[in-house]
Amino acid sequence: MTKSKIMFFLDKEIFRFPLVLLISGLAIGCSAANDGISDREDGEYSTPTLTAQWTDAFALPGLLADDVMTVSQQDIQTLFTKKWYASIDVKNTLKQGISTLSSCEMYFNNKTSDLRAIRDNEQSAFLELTSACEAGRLISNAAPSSKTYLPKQIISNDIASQLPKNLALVTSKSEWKSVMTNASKQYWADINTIVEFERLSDYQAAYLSDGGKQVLSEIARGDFDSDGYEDVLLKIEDSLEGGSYSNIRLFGLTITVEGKWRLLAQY
Amino acid sequence: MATTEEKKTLRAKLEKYEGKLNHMYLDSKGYVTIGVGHLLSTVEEAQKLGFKDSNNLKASTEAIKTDYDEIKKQPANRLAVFYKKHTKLTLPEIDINALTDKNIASFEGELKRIYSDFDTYPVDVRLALFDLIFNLGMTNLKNKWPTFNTAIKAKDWQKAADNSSRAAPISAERNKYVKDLLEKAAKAKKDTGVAAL
Repeated sequence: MTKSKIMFFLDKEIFRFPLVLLISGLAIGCSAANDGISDREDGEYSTPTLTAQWTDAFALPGLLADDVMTVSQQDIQTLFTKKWYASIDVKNTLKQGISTLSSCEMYFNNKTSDLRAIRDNEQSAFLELTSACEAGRLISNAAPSSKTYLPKQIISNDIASQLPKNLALVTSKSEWKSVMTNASKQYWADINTIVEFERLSDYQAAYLSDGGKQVLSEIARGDFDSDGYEDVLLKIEDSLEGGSYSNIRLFGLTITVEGKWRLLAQY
Repeated sequence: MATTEEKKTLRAKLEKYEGKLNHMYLDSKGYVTIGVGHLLSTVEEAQKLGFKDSNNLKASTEAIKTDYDEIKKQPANRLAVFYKKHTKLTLPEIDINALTDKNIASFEGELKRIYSDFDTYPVDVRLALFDLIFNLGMTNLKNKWPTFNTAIKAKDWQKAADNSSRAAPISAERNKYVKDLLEKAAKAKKDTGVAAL
């Protein structure tokens, strides 16, 4: 990899590769980054291995009280003890009553399935914090992957017709149950007809449907389930035209050998 | 038209679920907002309001613009305390309540467009629908809730109650508030029917 090519990556800020990876790439001439997202062809590759990579859509550094620099997976782990920009009162923690959380570490230690902000109007900001913590945890624990079927660019105007229906924006619980049991509806676009696509960056775009807006972001790539194959972490932000409803969801996905998107988990 | 008592109940519930802030902030979508989710789409709109400075004096249009611009450049979806430190002005409670009443009137108009006989619905049903439309917006409520809307239009309040829950991250408490209102209307209807026999 030439120096100019590295500068191109840095200037474009397409991906914030771990700095050490870039430096070692220079040293050995054939780095992991050289076979990374921006260079490789679509389809499977086998060697060398890729460590986790994350984009500017990984929000945790910007949610902390102090400025931080993250260039390696180990750096991300150190963010968990750092204070958020503000503390938040929550309920339904492992402890009885109300707790005040102010870091990812406190969140991880108090996490339950129904943990939420005490004040309803703070739930959305709380989800911003918790989804960033979860993304950080996944990135810091991601194993190197040796194979991938992920395309160079995931965020596209037709991705809604390929991603599973779990990403759809459905606000009624009854309608959601109906959607999930309907075998003829498989993809996100089967549920939400996308009427407008707006690219916000290489790794982020807005998808507008009937009364709804969803911003899809590629947060990171890495092997999140330790099977050797590269997975992707996607964040989707749901909102409604003329309504206060908003949600943030985090999905781990991969592409199978058959070329189909498969949902690994929702975090 | 919503009665004074209905508006009072609605305001209290909306303040509880949507929050009530006397300074400008960004909502989760990044729009400058004040009070109980009242959108300020332009600085001129903000300048029409009776903001006060720290001495409780009427704020100048320049001071309002400064606050507005400062908030607009912040990241979206932060806790209120984050935005508070970027503002110098506040809006008196009476003005916030007036904005909320204006929003209630606007939502009432939209509810009548979805449900042509909205005015004839029991108060509890109307309160439930107000909470839904404030949260979901007219388009989503009208087009994405077919089972619920069929029940409402058939005045089958119990079926509407059974299909009234919103998906995460809406709290179980807020969903219960709406369901209880609809169930109360269903019970009242049933009792009236029995009494008429």
